Amino acid sequence: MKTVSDQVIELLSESILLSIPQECMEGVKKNTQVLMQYSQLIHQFEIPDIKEKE
Amino acid sequence: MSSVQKIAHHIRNKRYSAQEVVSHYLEMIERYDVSMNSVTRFLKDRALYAATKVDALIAEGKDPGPLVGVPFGVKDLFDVKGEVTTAGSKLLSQNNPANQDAKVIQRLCAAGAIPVATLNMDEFAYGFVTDNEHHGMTHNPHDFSRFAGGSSGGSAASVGGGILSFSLGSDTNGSIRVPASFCGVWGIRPTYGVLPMQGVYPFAESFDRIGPFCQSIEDLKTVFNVMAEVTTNTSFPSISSLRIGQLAGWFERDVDQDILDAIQEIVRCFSKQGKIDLPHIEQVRAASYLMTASEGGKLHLPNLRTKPMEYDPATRERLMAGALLPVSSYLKAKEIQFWFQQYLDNIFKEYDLLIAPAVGSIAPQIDNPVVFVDGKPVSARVNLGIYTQPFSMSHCPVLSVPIHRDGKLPIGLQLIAKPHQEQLLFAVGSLLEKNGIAKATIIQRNKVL
Repeated sequence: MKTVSDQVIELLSESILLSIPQECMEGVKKNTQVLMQYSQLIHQFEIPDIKEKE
Repeated sequence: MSSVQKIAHHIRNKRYSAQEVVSHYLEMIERYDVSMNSVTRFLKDRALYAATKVDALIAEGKDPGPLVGVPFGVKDLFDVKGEVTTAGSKLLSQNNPANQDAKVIQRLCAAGAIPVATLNMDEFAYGFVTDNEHHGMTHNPHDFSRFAGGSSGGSAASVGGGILSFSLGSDTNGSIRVPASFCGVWGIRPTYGVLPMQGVYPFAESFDRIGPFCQSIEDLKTVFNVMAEVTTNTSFPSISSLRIGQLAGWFERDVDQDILDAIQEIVRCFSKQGKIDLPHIEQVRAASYLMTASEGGKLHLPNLRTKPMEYDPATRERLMAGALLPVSSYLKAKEIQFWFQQYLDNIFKEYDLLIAPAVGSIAPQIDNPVVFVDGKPVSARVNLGIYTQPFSMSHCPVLSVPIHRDGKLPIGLQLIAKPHQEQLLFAVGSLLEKNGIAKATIIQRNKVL
């Protein structure tokens, strides 16, 4: 997985009218990286059918 | 006799007045909470006034209720009339005071209970350790060098530390279950929708629950039933006819052998047992994490836009990242939640109960704040919920079962039932307590009652 760049964070945050202070940027990038990994994990997951038990 | 019942009994029989009891608990908190740091505010005036009203009712021959005069504490995210609901934050501390108690507090007070203190938490409930930037850390009552767990750490520590007979907490991803385990007390995460959330500051509404912490299963049932307005008694078949499934796979990884042995001891009480490897728990847990991050981020977005620096940095940056999550990921996580709920519905056709660890070990050291996931050290603050988060995705009630060990720190387990089976959990918990398998670890301070 690629690392999250400042530019990506700025674009996304601008779209929700959130201005991220410079001192928060590293923390937001780190947390976003974690969320992106989990996001990838669930998008790779094909939800199986459930066989109903009697 | 349990603590809550004992207190109510003594006050009803005029062995002690409510004022004496409340004053005693306020004094105990002042004396013994210095090292734990579980209390954020005293409700002294309100508590003593309420105690005089209780005493007056008793003097008139009236019964104030099943929790007559019992002092309790509430996590800082419950509305308490006349107090500002801070949710552990600086940000909300400038708000107007609540103009009424949270609904469950109203019910407890109507039953005679008396709130005496507000209790420490992770800011906005976003953590598993109760390390609050503004109020400080709450320490484990059994070992001050260790975490109490969170985010309802003040609630759990005050009960385990013997300075409150019961308290209220909340659980989004494990915030009752984790601190209950580390502090050695009983707790319950109820079924979705059973307890009213009016007057409770939210975190992630898909998962938020509230519930009590108590020193015994009997107390837990009594307090919960008042909160839920349960009036009828339910009888259950004998424990030997119940079917219990021990969760394997994910729920055995990185778990101390002591905890797995405790689970085995409980499983052996049931004649019908099985071992279940729930599939895709890694994805279920990831989905829970993402939904929480997104809902929390969305909730806080207005304040993150205007007052970001008033947040604890650890909370702020997690919430900001959550607000940026693509909606397609949130919606996929919701689909996984729905699938998991259906999957569990199926499991509960074959089993009455499921059992799993609530935590993988005893409380971590504060100066070494890590837990192990897949054998690798990771942040305790963020990862203590790996066994509790999956069940946050269900609507199921979960009983946090304390396991007392002489000379060792307490551990805790999750006993899970299908929705609306809280009374079954209490019945099983009661049996485990009577048999000495489950027991709270409480610092005995109360030489008066």
